[in-house]
Amino acid sequence: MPFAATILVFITIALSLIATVTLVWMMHAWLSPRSYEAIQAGETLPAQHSFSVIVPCRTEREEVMAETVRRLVNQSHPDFEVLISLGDDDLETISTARRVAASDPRVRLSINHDPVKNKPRQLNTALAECTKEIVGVMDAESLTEPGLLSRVDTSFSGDQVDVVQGAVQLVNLHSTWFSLRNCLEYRIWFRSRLHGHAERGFIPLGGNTVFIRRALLEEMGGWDGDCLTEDCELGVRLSARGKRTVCVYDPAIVTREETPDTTKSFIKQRTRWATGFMQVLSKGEWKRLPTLSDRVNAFWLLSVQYMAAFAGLVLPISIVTALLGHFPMPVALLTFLPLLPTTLTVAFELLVLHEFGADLGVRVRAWDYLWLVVCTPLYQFALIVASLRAVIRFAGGNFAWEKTQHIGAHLSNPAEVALQ
Amino acid sequence: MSTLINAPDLTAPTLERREPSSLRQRPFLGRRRGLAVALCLTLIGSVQLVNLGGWPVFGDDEGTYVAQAWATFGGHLAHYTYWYDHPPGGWLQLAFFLYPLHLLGLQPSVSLSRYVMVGYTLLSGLLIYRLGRTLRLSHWAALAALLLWGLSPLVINEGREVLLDNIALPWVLGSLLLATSTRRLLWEHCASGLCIAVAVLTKETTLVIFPAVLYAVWTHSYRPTRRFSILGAAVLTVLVGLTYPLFAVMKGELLTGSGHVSLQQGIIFQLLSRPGSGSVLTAGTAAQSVLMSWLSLDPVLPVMGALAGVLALFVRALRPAAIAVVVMVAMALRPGGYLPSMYVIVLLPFAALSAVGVVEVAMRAVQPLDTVRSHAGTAVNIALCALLLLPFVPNWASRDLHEMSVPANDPYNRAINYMASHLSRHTRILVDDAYWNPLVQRGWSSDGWSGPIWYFKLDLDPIAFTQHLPNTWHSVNYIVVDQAVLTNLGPHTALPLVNQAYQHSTLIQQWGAGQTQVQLRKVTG
Repeated sequence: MPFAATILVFITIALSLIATVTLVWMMHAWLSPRSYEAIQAGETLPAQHSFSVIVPCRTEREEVMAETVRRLVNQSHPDFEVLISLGDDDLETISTARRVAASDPRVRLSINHDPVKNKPRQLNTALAECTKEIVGVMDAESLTEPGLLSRVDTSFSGDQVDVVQGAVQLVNLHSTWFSLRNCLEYRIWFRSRLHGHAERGFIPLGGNTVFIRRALLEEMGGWDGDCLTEDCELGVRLSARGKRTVCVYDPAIVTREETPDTTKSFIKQRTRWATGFMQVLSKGEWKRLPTLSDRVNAFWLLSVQYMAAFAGLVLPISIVTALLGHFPMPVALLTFLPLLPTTLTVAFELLVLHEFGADLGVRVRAWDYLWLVVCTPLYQFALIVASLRAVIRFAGGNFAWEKTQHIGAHLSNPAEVALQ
Repeated sequence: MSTLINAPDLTAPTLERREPSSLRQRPFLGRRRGLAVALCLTLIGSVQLVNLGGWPVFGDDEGTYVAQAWATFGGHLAHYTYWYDHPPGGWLQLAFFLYPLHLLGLQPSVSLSRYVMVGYTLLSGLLIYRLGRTLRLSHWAALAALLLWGLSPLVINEGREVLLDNIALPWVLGSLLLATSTRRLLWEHCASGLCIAVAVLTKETTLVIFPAVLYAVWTHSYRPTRRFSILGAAVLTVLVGLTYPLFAVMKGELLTGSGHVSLQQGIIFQLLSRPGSGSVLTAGTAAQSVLMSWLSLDPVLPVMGALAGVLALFVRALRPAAIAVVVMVAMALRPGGYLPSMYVIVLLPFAALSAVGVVEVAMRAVQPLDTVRSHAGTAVNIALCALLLLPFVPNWASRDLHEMSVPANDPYNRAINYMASHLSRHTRILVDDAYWNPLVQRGWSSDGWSGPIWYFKLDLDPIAFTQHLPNTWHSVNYIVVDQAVLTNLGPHTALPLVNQAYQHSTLIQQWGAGQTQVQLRKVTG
């Protein structure tokens, strides 16, 4: 029994630690007045740079793609080009893209002829055709605000800025059972966590609304053509070389996106991300970070955060074990410790949801707050399934691309209409 | 008086004079200021330490907590059935300090535990100074509050005693200090909630400070993230506080049932069925005699503090301390409640801070601002502080010297030595709780029933009769009668069996006289 008690205590402390570290990262923007103010929207200065915006597309629907491009050409910035990046086998989308591109001379097509089709390879082909100073990536279903490029331009004028990560926001709160949590997750990631990681000097970049100096990108050899999360991989390589990333969060220029349309596609997306993070972890670029604490931080970010999902499974098991196993009272009481950071996390999430609604003009109803709490175990379960799938796929060397389907739910969002 | 009531306007220039940024970047204490605080704490510590075991008389409550701390060494919360009289946080902390000493060969006793209390008092003192500073008192005013509190004969008297309130006090002060921090970090507000929860788990009555904590978090947090601060503090307070009922649930003792104690019973006893102390305003009530015992030790700090607490409500910066004072005083004035003498412990630091704070605000009102920062201003400040403290000096000095010299526990020590050299180790002795550990150390049984027995257990613990002492008081060989025991005897006693033992006993030896008298009596069944 003492052995079992020791194991139980160890598990409890590990769970508490994981939950607490996750909570602290998540709360970065709200931890102090300084960090809160650091994320405030800044002013926009006159343009000083030029932009090539790549829009990687694969089997996209015309109305989704057309709206994305229409928004891009409406950018207030004076000097930019748009490259619609396509695979040569995707003939239907190519013809759609031709129609869309005909509307504006600044829009071009970039066709990838690689036998293996995936996002990073399409991006690399497009990169070779870019002519402007800064390269940006916009997903096919992203709705940009007109001031975005100008604001990013201003951020590049800062001290030694190599990368600017813009914010992406999911706004279709009510499309599926998991949409609410998914939207909140994005909100926390772009509004808070990412800024903390940027400040810490290690940042897995997002694949959307991300801008990098073209010269630097070419010097780095572009994106990793075999990685499932090429965005994260590039971020790790840039971090290891000490490149400076600035995150921009301003509700006025946030890029709007949609959540996956079904549970299946959500799990596929998360499987891809998790597998990609494992690839990045095993590639080992993060080991080139200068200090031990940097490397521990990187390791944590690339791996341990997936354990957070499992924590949700282990916690009830350890409490039930403690209650039924006739453990000493202090040990049994201790198993409840992880509930402290966990409950605090959910409580803060409710406030973040409130702030999110107010910031983006999205109506959050009383039912939404309740649902946020109620669906937490389900959401955790979906993440666990995705993580397990990722482990299996990674072990079997299966790195095929599972694309997320875009149906355009964000186009008909009432909040979206209100903003127009 | 109207000047004071208008004080909010007068505090504004006071606030502007201090640059918040310099305050933020300053280390915990500046070097010279730190030295001044250290000197004050040394003085307070010395006054506490001289005659620490001599005054006041070892109380039965002190013995209770020491014995329960001792019981935790063996994995129990008490050596009798733990019946949810208080949450165990206080004696668990005491055990944390006593256990290493126990391993070194120093056995737990009230006199040893009083050294731990000095540590707690000094920590509280440091936190009072810091809290004074975050409540925007000047350095000199914060020092004055520290001394006003630390040298009060009432604080010396209560602070030396091994009481849960003394252990809870640094947690209460820490909670408010974190809540009022100028750095306004979210973790500080969460930690503030955690601290007040620990205070409540140490002594449940500190829950009355919770409104002051919430108020402080609300007013001192960063406006855009205020909701997070309030929710963080509240969630942590509630969750940590819930560990106590959780503990009861896991032991199957949450609700009243036959054959076991319960948290429900404990709460009902403390809140409802415990005989009230009457109103402090009614002559002859227990509440009034408690109040009189405070005022006889120090009339200044409680009275001045209570009045200043009301005035300080009108000074924005002082309001957290003022709320603490006003709520605690209101609770004490509530007729029919239970008012124990240690209740004043948590009130006094806030009384001192309010008193000094109100005086300082009044001084700022009459003093031209440009002299405030100059050396002349400092000199005036020192002079005014001295002037403020002067009227109390004669009374305090004589009371303090009394407490630092009178050997009130001589009869206690002599009684224990006598029993150790004259009585068989196989005797049952009814004692007040403070005698229990010393007798166990001297060879008597530690099972609680076949050696020294907490006297009231004979009547109040159901298993005394059913399992251990079927012949009730006839099974007892001796009874040690001191003031604590005497006050519970007599015709209307709630302890009839102890009373019987007393009535059927003959005096063997007695030590001391009056309040400190101790008698050893043989029970002749």
